[in-house]
Formats: sequence, C-alpha cells, structure tokens
Amino acid sequence: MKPIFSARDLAVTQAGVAALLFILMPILHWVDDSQYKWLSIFHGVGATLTILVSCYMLHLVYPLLRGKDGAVKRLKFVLWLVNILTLASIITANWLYIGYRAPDGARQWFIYHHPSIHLILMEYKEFVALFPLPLGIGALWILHRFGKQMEQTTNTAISSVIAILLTIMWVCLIIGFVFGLAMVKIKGV
Amino acid sequence: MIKQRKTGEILAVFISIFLGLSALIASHIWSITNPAAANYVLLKVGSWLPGWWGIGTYAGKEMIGLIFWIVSWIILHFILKNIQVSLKKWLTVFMFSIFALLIITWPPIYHAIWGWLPTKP
Repeated sequence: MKPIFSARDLAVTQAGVAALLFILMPILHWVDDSQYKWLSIFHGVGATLTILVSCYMLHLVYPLLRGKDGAVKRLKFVLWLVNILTLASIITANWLYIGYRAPDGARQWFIYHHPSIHLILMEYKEFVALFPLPLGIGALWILHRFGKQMEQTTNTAISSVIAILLTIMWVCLIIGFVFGLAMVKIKGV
Repeated sequence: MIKQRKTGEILAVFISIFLGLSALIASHIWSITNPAAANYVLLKVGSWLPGWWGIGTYAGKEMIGLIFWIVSWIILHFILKNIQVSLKKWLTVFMFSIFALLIITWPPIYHAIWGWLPTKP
C-alpha cells in the first residue's frame, strides 16, 4: 500500500519549517535598541541563509560521489548561491565589525567583562569565517573546468576533491556561525 | 570528444588557497608579534576598502590574503595546467595543510608560541 505522504514531502516540510524558524532568530533582533540593529539583522540573516543553503549543498555532494546523472549541474547551481551568500555575509560582517570595534561597542564590553570571548572566540571566528570563500570558489572553478569530463567518465578522484573542498568549507562556515551565535547571545553589536 | 584537462589545474587551486589563507594568518600573527611595524603596513594596504577606518588592521589582513590567493592562482594555473599530478597524494597534503592552518589560527596556540602582549587588550 502506498503511504499517505511520501518521504520526500515529509523531508521537505521538516527542512522548510526548520529553515523558517532559523531565519526568525536574527530577524527577532529587531527589538534591540542598538544603533547597528539593522546591520546585525542583515548579517545574521545572511549568515543563517548561508548555513541553510550550504547544508543543502553538502547533500548534493552524495549524488556526485555516486556518479548520478545531472549531479554536477545541480551542485554547480547551489554552489553559486552559497558563494554569493558567503561573499554577502563577509561584506556585511566587515560593515558590522565597525560597530563591534566602535568606542563603547561590543569589543570593549567583552574585553572588560569576558576578555576570552573577544581574544579567543572572535579572533578565531573572524579568520576562519574567511576560509569558505576561496574553498567554494576553487570548487566551483573545478566543477566548471572538469564538469563535462566528470559526467562522461566516472572520475571519482575529482569528485573526491570536490567533496573534500566543500566539506572543509562547510566546517569553516559552521565554526563562524556557531561562534557568532555564541557571541551575540552574550552581547550583541 | 571532450577536451581532457590536466589535473595540474586542480593542484593550482589547492596551492593558491593554501597560500592565500597562510598569508592571511601570517599577517595576523605578524601584527601580534610586531604591531608597531605591522599595523602601519596593514592599515595602509587596507585603506582603499570602504570603512577601513573602522575595520582597522583586519582590512589589511584580508587584502593581503586576497592578493596572495588571486595572484598565485593566476600564475600557478598557467604553470601547472599542462602537467598531470596525483590527485590522491595532493588532496591528502591539502587536507592536512588546511587542518594545520585551522589549528595555528586558534589564538591560545599562536599566543603560546609568540606570547601575549601585555599592552594589547
């Protein structure tokens, strides 16, 4: 007997609800009274979207490794999106960083109350969060140059290269995201 | 018949990413160990970026990383595109070098090596 709902429908519903609620987290910061409120919402929404789309992207690596038809094309499109979102998050991050470093800003607050949050978490996050951009653009370039070759012959070596590049990219993205969340939970910009 | 490209192109991607990210981290460690000399250069390099006055030396560090990555990629692409390399070997090397970078970027580790400046917050 056929199930009433397909597994795909349930999975898509779950992912959709999770994505919507995650996006709500930064948006709810509109109740803040900071001068940099809208900028932090932009950065928060950008970073959250990047993580959500990059999770989907990482799932598209599995059909690529199995050599499924059309896997290259689909991954390429989503990787484009992730790269654009990563760049947008880096730009808003730099912009927000002005507020973070401003006199009486979050940096001063952290250094006074919890120095290790700035000296360890922030100092680590601000560099690791830049790692995904070259990794993602590198992977996109390889897909662009070797895509046709990968579709014709089951060249698993190049698929493995893409899988590793994108996995490291995703790990760096989630480091930046989680550390950012941890910091904004203690003190927002 | 599809043109068979050489795997040297992929090696160029690996090396340029590693060089760019290493330059980023090296410039940061430089500004930790010798802020007087480093911050002058870093502020100057980053000064064309909008908002650099508020971003500070971080703008310069980003620019140095970006320049090393893009320039080395272009040069290496044309040097390596006609050679065939072992992807298995270079992928392993690349993975470990990125892990090493992620470890050296952890502040307690580089401060343990190069020290904490008493004057720096």
